[in-house]
Amino acid sequence: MRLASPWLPAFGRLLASLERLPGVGPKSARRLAHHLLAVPPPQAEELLEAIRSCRERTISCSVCHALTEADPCPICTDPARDERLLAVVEAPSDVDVLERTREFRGRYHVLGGALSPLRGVGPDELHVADLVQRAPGVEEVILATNPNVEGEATALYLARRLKPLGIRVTRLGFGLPVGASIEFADEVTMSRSLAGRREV
Amino acid sequence: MEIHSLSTENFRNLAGPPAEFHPGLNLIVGDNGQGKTSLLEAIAFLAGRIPFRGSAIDEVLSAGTSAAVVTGRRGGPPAADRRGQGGDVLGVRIQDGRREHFLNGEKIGRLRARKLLPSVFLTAEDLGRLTGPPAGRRAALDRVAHALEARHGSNLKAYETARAAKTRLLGADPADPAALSAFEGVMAGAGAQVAFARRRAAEKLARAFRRQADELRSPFTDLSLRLRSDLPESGDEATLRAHFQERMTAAAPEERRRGRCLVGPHRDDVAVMAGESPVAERASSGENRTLVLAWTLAEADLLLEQSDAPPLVAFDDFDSEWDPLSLDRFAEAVPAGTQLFLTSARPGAVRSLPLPTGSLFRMENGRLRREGILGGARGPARLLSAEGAR
Ligand SMILES: [Zn+2]
Repeated sequence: MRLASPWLPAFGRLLASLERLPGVGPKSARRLAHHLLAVPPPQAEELLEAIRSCRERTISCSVCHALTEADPCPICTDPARDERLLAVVEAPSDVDVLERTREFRGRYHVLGGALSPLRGVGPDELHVADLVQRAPGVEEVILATNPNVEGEATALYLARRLKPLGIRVTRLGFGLPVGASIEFADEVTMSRSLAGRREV
Repeated sequence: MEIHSLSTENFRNLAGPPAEFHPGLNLIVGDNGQGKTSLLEAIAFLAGRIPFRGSAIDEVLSAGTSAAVVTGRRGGPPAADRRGQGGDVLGVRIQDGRREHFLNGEKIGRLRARKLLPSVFLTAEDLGRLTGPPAGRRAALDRVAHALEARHGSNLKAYETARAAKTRLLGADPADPAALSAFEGVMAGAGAQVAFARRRAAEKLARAFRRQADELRSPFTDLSLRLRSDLPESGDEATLRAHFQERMTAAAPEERRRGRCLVGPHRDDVAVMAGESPVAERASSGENRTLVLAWTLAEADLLLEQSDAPPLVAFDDFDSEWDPLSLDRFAEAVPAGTQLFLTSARPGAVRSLPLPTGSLFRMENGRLRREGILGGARGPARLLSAEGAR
């Protein structure tokens, strides 16, 4: 179904790479590829260099698994952030969602996904063990996993693991529809769910 | 609610120019395999319903095509409609195993489509509703639950997703008890909401069903329609949830042994009872079908309660398997103002039925052709004029 010209194999390769990006269909891949060919060379070089350096310098924080260039990350080392309060999220991008509210003053723990037996994701595939290790010194864990089946199950699972350690475990009070992802929540909704969190 | 016109692209074998429908009766005659059922199915897709014959969504695509589109004009004053104005344009696009609904070109959800074109369908697969497997009866109950509770669909989906996850965990060796209980927790939450909505729907449906069965003069007395479930007959969501959780705990060893979920709403059934015993085995096939008609009319009643106009009623191959007397009564019981679609392999099919005025169509090779007017304003329908051959 692709109309790539067989005499332009390099162009075809770029198209194929672009199409693999999330939210990019064949049509926009074609538009992007043509655009990248048309821009002045420095601009294309800048994109290449930005991708390369971002991939080289961005690592995962060894404490919270959020994205960072310094390990541990600035949030983990910031003395102004409350170390007794921990928000557990599924993906590094969810950290941004909570940060945008400017209301959360604790620290994070990124699980790297949610429990999904059908996709072969169990507790061992997630950063659960080191969350339990961080537990001493934590007073409240806010479970900010997605309000869908996997996210809810992960929250219930973690509550079951954390509560026996004497930690207060809360869940975001979502105004989001069931089945949604917190990735798409705006600041107001997120602030509200944070304020409306309930004990699990 | 009415649909004034319908056009399709790449939908099964349907072809030809847009069809213009009558706001009353639309009788579509034609030999088998010409596209009568497909036409009703196209309307069902537009109305956000599941495909007929249990087929996968992509099966409606014409051979060699990758996307199908159905569009139809709904509501609006009939006078304006004839000039091609008035009303909303509903659309559905079927591609890659998915459906997208549109209203005047804007994307809408499936639930919205269902509300915009409330409809009731009777097809060959409904003939065995009372005697067949529970899934058909559950689906019929869920349609009512959907109409009453907007979140029923997503709750049902969440329940099934959690159940699939739990089933996988039950098959793992060794099973992880903490992960199992986490997915059970989600099942209990979603399952309790499903159970609650079904109980509400069953109660309303039972009342309407009994009334309609009397209308159709079913020989059975003391008829009721009862939800058969692992969970208590009544109670609020919290109670149902607690019970469900308890039942799962009790069933855990057996579930572990058999690797399946043994309790929950996925096992629900709806029983049609006369007094304290199920009707299905005692009734003749004709009597069973009369009760299916009553059930369908009851569904139409409840949809009418939720909307300001009676739902569209479509009845596939209506005169082949159903007994004439109950058809008569069915025709009488359809609320005034209902847009009715009937298909038949016999041209003279409606002559003796008390039906509203309407249009007669012939379906041939996927092409619909208007052949005449049916007259009667709820007197016996007669063929007033024949525009086509025959
Ligand atoms: Zn960190």
